[in-house]
Amino acid sequence: MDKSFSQIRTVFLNELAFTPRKIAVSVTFVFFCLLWGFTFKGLIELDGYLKGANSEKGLFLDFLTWILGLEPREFERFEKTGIFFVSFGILSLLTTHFFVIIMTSDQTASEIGNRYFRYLVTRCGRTEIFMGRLLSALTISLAAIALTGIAAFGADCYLNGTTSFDSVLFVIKTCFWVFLFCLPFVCLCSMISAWSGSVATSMLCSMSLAFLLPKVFNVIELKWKKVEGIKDIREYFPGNFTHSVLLDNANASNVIVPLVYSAVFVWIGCSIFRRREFP
Amino acid sequence: MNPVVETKDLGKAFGATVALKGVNLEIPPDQVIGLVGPNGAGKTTLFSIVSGFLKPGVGSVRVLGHSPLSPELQGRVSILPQDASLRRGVSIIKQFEFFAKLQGLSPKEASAEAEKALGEVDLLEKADEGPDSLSHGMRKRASLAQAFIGNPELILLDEPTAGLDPVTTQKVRKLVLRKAEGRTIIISSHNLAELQEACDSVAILNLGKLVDFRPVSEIVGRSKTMIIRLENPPDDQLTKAVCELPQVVSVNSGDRGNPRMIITVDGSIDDSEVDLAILGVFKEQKARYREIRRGESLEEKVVQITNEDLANENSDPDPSSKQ
Repeated sequence: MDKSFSQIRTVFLNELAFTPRKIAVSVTFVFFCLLWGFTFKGLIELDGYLKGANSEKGLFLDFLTWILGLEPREFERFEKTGIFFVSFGILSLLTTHFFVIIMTSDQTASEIGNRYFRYLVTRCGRTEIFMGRLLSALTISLAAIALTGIAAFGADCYLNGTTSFDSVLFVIKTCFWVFLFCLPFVCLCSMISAWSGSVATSMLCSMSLAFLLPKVFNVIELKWKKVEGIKDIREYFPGNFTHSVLLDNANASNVIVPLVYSAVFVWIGCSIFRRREFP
Repeated sequence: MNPVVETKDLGKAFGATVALKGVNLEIPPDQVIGLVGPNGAGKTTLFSIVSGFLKPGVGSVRVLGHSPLSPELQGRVSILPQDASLRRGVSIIKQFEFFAKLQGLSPKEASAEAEKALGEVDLLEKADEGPDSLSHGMRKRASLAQAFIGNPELILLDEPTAGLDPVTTQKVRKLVLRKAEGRTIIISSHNLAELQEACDSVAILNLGKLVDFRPVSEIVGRSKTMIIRLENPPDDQLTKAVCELPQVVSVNSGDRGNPRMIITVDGSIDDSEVDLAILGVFKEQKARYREIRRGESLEEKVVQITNEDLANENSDPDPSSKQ
């Protein structure tokens, strides 16, 4: 067991050092930073604009409610948190997983292709390789998410000269939910990566799921809106708790569902990787 | 002593292509074994199965008494894989340290081991460079060096000298012989002259079958065949004169591109008497030669054995034997 942990740790640390050198990861990270740089700049400008005119603030809230499909009575929570942080939360929850999928889609695929694993599998257990790489991908994802949280604090301090406890709590909670949101997708990437040995397939499958799943639910809800409890099926799929989180209605299922999906994906991925051939 | 590698009726197919069929092989410990055969004979597939990269289709494999995927084999078996690449953009020494740590060495030991491995292939001065900045030969040597990290009991080298210059090839041969003490090394190669020098035994694969596995000395031992490489193709007069010698049983002449005479002599007569008689004819005929050799080279024997197997395969009326 000690040997196994030691190998996971070795693979994890090695991968953590190597991942930023992957072109796909570094380019995606640059775009991720650019997106958030422009977003914070825009939010800072918007904040000043909205503070000056109530009508515009109303318009902005209308826009948010339209995007999220909220009821006007649910504005209150937004008012309490503040436009800046609400916008940060929405953007985080709606966009981060796409970047994370690109950054973590190549956990094993390309090195199955170029046969690098032939140097490893005679020295190290396959489960250890798989888990070490998955942990590294999760750490990279967490680091990217944490970076946006830190940047949000920075922007808030710039705006108000200081930051409140509520804001700190909101950002930490948002980062936690974003990570939980991304978790099943990272694990799905690892599973498909182990199965297909292709970066493109891994990215395509995870992206498709992330893009299409919400659309599928929208169609289902529209088509069978009279069927009782049809809205509840969202609860049982990963990546469908944006509303609950933003409205502070999150419940245990919002935590359990992504964890269960992640565990299933990891288990399947690990089984595939242990059994697969390296031709 | 228990065999290091033991295969029983081992078979592997990729779709309709049969890569290995019915291979029964027992590799003894502490030997250097050559694995030879034409392209597509199944050498790399056999290596891949022994290393656990591929699963056997049929039959069984035991490596050091375990299944190839057993955790017991981690660090005890190492391989120089064919066509595998080290990570680009990461220095070789860092990669070697990583490999050594995976094998259970402490960071300090791993660092020393990585340096030692690189030193053995004269790549210490390139230790901090990535494989992408090395020449093909250097990359090959780096890949070879990683196979010696730690203390593996079984080392599989797939084409270790392919693409290397003669000087480096010789160095690799010396390194392999040095490393062979107390462990088993299996070398797959088309460089049969090198194998003849380095190996104790040779396993010959053809069309996925094991057609021979014997000590090199047995395969290329002094035989009744004498090969004389000439400067020019032999004329009829020379051939006739050699044929007329009482010690000579038959003479075959080489073609224009490969001027030589393959002379089969009477095995009951003393070697030196035969040699002197033949050289006497050459002197009389004023024929110039470049090389005289008793017995065939490993290359010639492998070609002969492979061709015989092919002929048997083609004439075998039993279709089940071609599965």
